[in-house]
Formats: sequence, structure tokens, C-alpha cells
Amino acid sequence: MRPLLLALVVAGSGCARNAYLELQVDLPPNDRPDARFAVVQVVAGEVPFKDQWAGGDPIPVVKLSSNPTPLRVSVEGNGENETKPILVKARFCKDASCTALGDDVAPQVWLRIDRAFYIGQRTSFTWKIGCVPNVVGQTDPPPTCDVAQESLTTVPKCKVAGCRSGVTSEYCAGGKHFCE
Amino acid sequence: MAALLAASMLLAVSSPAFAAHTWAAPAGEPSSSAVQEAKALYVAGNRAVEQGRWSDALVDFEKSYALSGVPAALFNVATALRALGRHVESRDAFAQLLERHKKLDPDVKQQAEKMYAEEKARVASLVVADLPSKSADLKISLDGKTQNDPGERPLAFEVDAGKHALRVEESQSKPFTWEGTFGDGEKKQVAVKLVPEDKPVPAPAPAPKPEEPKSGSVWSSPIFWTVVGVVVVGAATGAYFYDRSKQLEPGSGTVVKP
Repeated sequence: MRPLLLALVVAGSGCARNAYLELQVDLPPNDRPDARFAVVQVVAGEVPFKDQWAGGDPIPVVKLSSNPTPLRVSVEGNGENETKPILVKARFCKDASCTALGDDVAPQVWLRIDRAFYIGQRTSFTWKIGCVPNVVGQTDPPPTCDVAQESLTTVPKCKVAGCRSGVTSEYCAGGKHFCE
Repeated sequence: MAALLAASMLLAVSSPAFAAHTWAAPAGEPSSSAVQEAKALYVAGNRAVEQGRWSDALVDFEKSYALSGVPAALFNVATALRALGRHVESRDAFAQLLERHKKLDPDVKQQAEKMYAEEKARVASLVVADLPSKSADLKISLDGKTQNDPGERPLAFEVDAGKHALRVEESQSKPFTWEGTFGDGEKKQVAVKLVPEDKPVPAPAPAPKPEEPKSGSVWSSPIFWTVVGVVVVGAATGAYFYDRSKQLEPGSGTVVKP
């Protein structure tokens, strides 16, 4: 009878151990004569943005078009990374593998979400990148983009949507997130 | 000095672990249209340099050299690579210039020799020790690119200053990975430790035979054990699906586990 009891105990203890951040990256239109590919990476924890981020689950590379393109990604959280910051890097390379000549200094922008996960809860955030930043020393059109190269957008936890219906600018009450 | 330079250049070119980079030039006399195009590219490259667009300048100079074979274009290829911090390639470009263009202007030659020596000194080196013998099973990657294994041990790679990542894979072993940052001319040695994959746990030894139950006992009834088996399997399956139903499902088709 012991296996039966064990199975029932396991069943009784079933509860969510994961969380999801539904991240939407609004990629900018390509205003350059040559093709540009958006290469997006996500990591958890304190990792320098200047470092080359290796490994991780691949995110489809998006070829920029003349219109803004949304990229939707479900970032899974667990007990290990629940309270860690989530870092996102978007690079705009000439080649889909980001290895073309000049891609080592490809324009890029960074996002840091202070806290994105609450176990058992679904949160969401939309990152809008208005334009591809200009990079000094590259064949860019006249600098019309007001997004600075390697600019960092920091998102406090209260700006991450979740656990509250309706549209609002804050998702905290008394400094505590509604998902907490 | 010249002999020493030639010998060191030969060494760099013939070293099997890292093939020297070479730049193609036309085999014979280029056509006048090719020369005109090469000139235009050379001018465009110089303009790009003035504007600090070194990557673009490099492309122009490389095309210019490919069309014309003019040493000035190759000299500029080497200096553009140097400005971009690609010292391994820059050294090779200067080496090619000095080796294939013997009739260089003395001033240019002197400058090229000086820069060659400087670039050579800036090339960093990653020495990979304790590698298993060469085999089809062994895969060595540097910065994500699979490397040719000439079989030399220890195996050395030339790298530019900056961050580099090494990965060694062999079946039956866990992949070995290493990351490090190099300064100009720095040499680092990495000892590879390949740890065997976790072997499957062997089946436990058969349990001692229980005492024979008395005839007629419920424990000896096959029906009883069939019922127990069905109940256990059913409960476990139910528990699995119940547990799964409690986990959140992703909202999009792309899932990332950071």
C-alpha cells in the first residue's frame, strides 16, 4: 500500500512551481538601406550587458521590415530566478547570425526588469524600441534616432503588469506588487 | 633582423593549429577597368577612414586589393584590421605584404616591418592542455566556431585581446567549457577536464525471497496483486496530470528559460 500512499501524497501537494513573464518587444522599423536583423537575448541575474551572452534558449531572429514588428516571448521563471532581475539585450545586426563585418559593434539597446516573476502568476511587459540607434563609425543614415546606442531602460517591479485587471500604470500597492 | 622576421613569419604561416589569413590578388595583370574600380574603392576606403568608419574602410581596401593586387591596398587592409583590434589578421596581412611584395618603397617597408612586429606582439595565445588524442569523436569550439584539430598536444590557438570561450566535447563525457578574457599578447593555459557522463544506476540486487506465504493467504492471490497494480498506476497517472495542470503554460510559442 506504500506506493499508493506516495502517489496520493504527490497528487495532494501539486501546486505551480513556475511563473511566466509574457514579454513583448516592439521592434523598430528598418530605416537603413541594408537589411537588419533583431537578435534578442534574455538572461536572469546580474550579468554585464557588455559581455557576450552565451547559451540560453534561442529566440527567433527577426528581420526588420519597414514597419514596427512585435516579438512575443514567454520567459519562464522558477524558484531559482524568481527574484533575480531579468536582462534583455536587443542587437541589430547586418547578418542573422550577427557575424557580419561590423556586427561586433552592431547597434544595441538594453532592458533590465528589476523583478518579473511571482511563482504561480503570469506577468507581462511591453518594451518599445522606437528606432535602431546610430553607432559612431558605421555607415548609418544621418542620425535621426533619438534612442542612444547601448542605452539601458530600467523597469521597476511596479511597472510589470500582472495580478490586476484593467490598464494602469502601477501594479503595486504600498510598494508591494499585486502578485506578491 | 630580416632573417629573423622572415623565419617568424614562416612559423606563423606554417603553424597547423591556426591557418594564416590570406588575401587574394589577381593572378596576372589586372584589366584597366579593374584598376579603375580598385582606385575608386581605395579612395572610398580612405574617406571611410577619415570618418572613423573602419569596418567599411576594410571592406573597400580588401576589394581594392582583390581587384588590383596593389600593395598600398593591402597595407591599408592591415592598418584597418589593426584599428579594429583584429591583431591576428593584421599581423597576417603585414606578413603577406612583406612576403609577396618584395619591391616595397623602403619607407613603407620599414613601417610595415615595425607594425608587423607590434601586431605580432599583441596576438594573445590560448594553450589547451590535457586534451584527449585526436579523434572524430572530439570536437573543439572556440567562440562558438568548430576548430580544426591538427592533433598537436597541447593545442594552441591565437586570439585577439578580449573575451573568449572554449568548449570541448566528446561522447560519453560532459562538455568542458571555459571562458576568459585576454589582454594584448597574453598567454593563458587551460587544462581540459572531461568528466564521464553519469552512468545509469545499475539495477538493484534482487531482494531476498520472502517467506512463502501460507496457502490460501490473500498475499498469494494474483487477483489481489492485479488490483493493487491497477490502483497504483491509476493514482500515479492521476497525480502526474493533476500536478501538470497546476503548472502555468506559456502564452506564446517562444519559451525562454533564462
